[in-house]
Amino acid sequence: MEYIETDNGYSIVEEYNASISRKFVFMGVLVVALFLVVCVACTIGSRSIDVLSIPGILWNHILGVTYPAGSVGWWDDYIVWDVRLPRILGAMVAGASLAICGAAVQSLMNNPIADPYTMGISSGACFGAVLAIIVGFSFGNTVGTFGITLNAFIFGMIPVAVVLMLSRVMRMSPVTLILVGVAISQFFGSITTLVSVGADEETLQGAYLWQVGSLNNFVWDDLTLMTILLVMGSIALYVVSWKFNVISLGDDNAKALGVDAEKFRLISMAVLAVMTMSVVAYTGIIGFVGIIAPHVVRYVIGSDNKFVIPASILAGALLLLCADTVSRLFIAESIPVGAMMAFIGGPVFIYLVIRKNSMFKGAY
Amino acid sequence: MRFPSLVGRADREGDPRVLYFKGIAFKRRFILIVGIIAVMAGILSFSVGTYHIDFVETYRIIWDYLATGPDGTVNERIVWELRVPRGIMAIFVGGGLAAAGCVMQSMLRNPLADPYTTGVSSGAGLGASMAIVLGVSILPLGDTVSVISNAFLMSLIPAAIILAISSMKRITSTSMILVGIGVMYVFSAITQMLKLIATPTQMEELYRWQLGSLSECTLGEAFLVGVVVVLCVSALYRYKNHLNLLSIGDDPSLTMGVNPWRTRVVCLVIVSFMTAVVVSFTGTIGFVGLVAPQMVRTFIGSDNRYLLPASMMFGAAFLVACDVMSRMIGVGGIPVGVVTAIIGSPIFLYLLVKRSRKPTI
Repeated sequence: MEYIETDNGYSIVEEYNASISRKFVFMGVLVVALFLVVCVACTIGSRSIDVLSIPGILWNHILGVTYPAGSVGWWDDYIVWDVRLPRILGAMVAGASLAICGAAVQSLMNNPIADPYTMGISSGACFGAVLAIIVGFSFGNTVGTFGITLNAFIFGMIPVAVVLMLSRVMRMSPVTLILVGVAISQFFGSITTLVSVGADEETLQGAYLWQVGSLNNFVWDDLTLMTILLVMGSIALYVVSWKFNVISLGDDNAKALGVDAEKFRLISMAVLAVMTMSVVAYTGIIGFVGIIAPHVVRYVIGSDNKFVIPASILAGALLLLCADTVSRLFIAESIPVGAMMAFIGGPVFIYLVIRKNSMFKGAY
Repeated sequence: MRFPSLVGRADREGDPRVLYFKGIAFKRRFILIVGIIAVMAGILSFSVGTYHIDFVETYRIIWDYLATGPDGTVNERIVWELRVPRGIMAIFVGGGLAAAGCVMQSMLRNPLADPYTTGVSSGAGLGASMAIVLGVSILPLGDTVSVISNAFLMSLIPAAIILAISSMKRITSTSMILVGIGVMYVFSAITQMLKLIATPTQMEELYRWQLGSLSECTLGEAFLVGVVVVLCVSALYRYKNHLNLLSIGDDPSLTMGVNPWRTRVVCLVIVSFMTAVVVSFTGTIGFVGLVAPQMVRTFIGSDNRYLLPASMMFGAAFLVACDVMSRMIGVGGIPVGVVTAIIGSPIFLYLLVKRSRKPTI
């Protein structure tokens, strides 16, 4: 094997190693970029703090350095750590979760326009949230932010429950799975509309803001669940990432290689649903990142899910953080972060697709 | 077409050729029956509305109008200016969207594809919001038609972009979808930003437009849409065999002598034009284009020779039925786009579970 030469005059092993190291370099670049953007993002706000001092402030806080209350150092520490960082980390965790779920769903469904919301999670959650906002109904009798979050979480699980129940009575091929998701999400979407017809303007505005997603008012407590689920979920997905590669060969081939595609798809779906829900419940429905980030990753490092899955985490975090930072930098926070991301990222993405047209043939 | 060897033993159940011809006969019957249902439903829809006009009276009015011309009574104006245009519009909009969805799914090989996949709806949405929020009219035709003309022009832009790209290189079906998605996101982002500066009244109007409605159309508009839909679907029907090959794959269709890139672009242009016309008059009516073809697939399978006309008939019948229901429920009427999904999704789910034939694309 070692002596087989490729077109470029290298041995196959050399070529393989080069392609592997390219993937690691890409991820390394993403990590560095992420760190830089975090530092820049920490400086944005009414109190001006020097970019170069940000790493020091963060590091000192982690070490547990305390400042006398009211001093310059204390204020800097408070603003960076308690005001700006939760939102920054929130953007990163949300972006990462959505992107990894997008990469996994696209592989599982073998469909380039599948995203974490394809199963109907978003419309279920949306219905729950709108129900809490407009009708005032919520589980646990708590209206307000917590009631909305809880409602979104519970209703977002309904589509997944339906899919799992139906899988007992019928074979779930990728196409059937997608179509069941379509039916459920259309249904929830329309009853959401039905509920919103006749609501007064102010509640409608609240419901609309929830539907386009937002990262405003993030506090540390919101991060806990999202982060735990992201870490657990991505470890689980990374461990079985080879199965995603096998599944992309088709269900029959997967079976021949010892992977029960149908069962694996359903279990993964449940895991992805919980991860997605944890994000959606806190942020609302942020589009674009879940569908686009995995494609950008595949464009650079190919379709091997062992690398696509970890790289999607980084790319998604970077994409959403950049969009959020830009929208904070320029024009207040009134522009939904999803719209900002699509406005900037859309043209870039179109350019990428055109450049690498031949790559997009359907290997997921 | 008949194989000589079949003569005299057509009753042999196990013969695959017998089964084949039986299958074809079933598909033809399906198209015919659904077509008849669509026309009947359209005609029956003339007699439904909040203002009560007697069932027989409605058709007497229509007959009188056709025989002797207008006589200017209130009932006549209600029937001719509100109900007849709406019924005709529903038939052609439903048929056009479902046929367009069927073609998109076959040629892009994607069950999630619908007439709006390449960005037609978001382009139209941007055009409409420009007219409603900013008061800008791209064509100097006056304010009354500015929403329609803006929506129409803007909805052609995504297709134009894909057309421009495909003239430079051979664009794969996945790239086509992804470019469409990209354009869609950009356009809806701009629309969202416009919504930020909209007054509540404008928001309301835009929201209604985006849900889609059949209530405000004239007879002339209905006939215009009808002519466009019929012409475009007949043009698409000429590509039925090409579409069958495309739905297998690019390489197989090349082997069979069909240029997949060219076919895709031609079909895309026709579909986009038809969808643009429909959307600019009615707003974005969802669900029909995506789900009607899939429902039909559970009955007659994915052969585009039958699927395309059957989808058209089914979409027409479905939208008329939903429109009738949306008129009967509630005082102001529920938007038809909402009714389609509320009624259609459970039916679709039922078909998916119960029918042994699953949609394949």
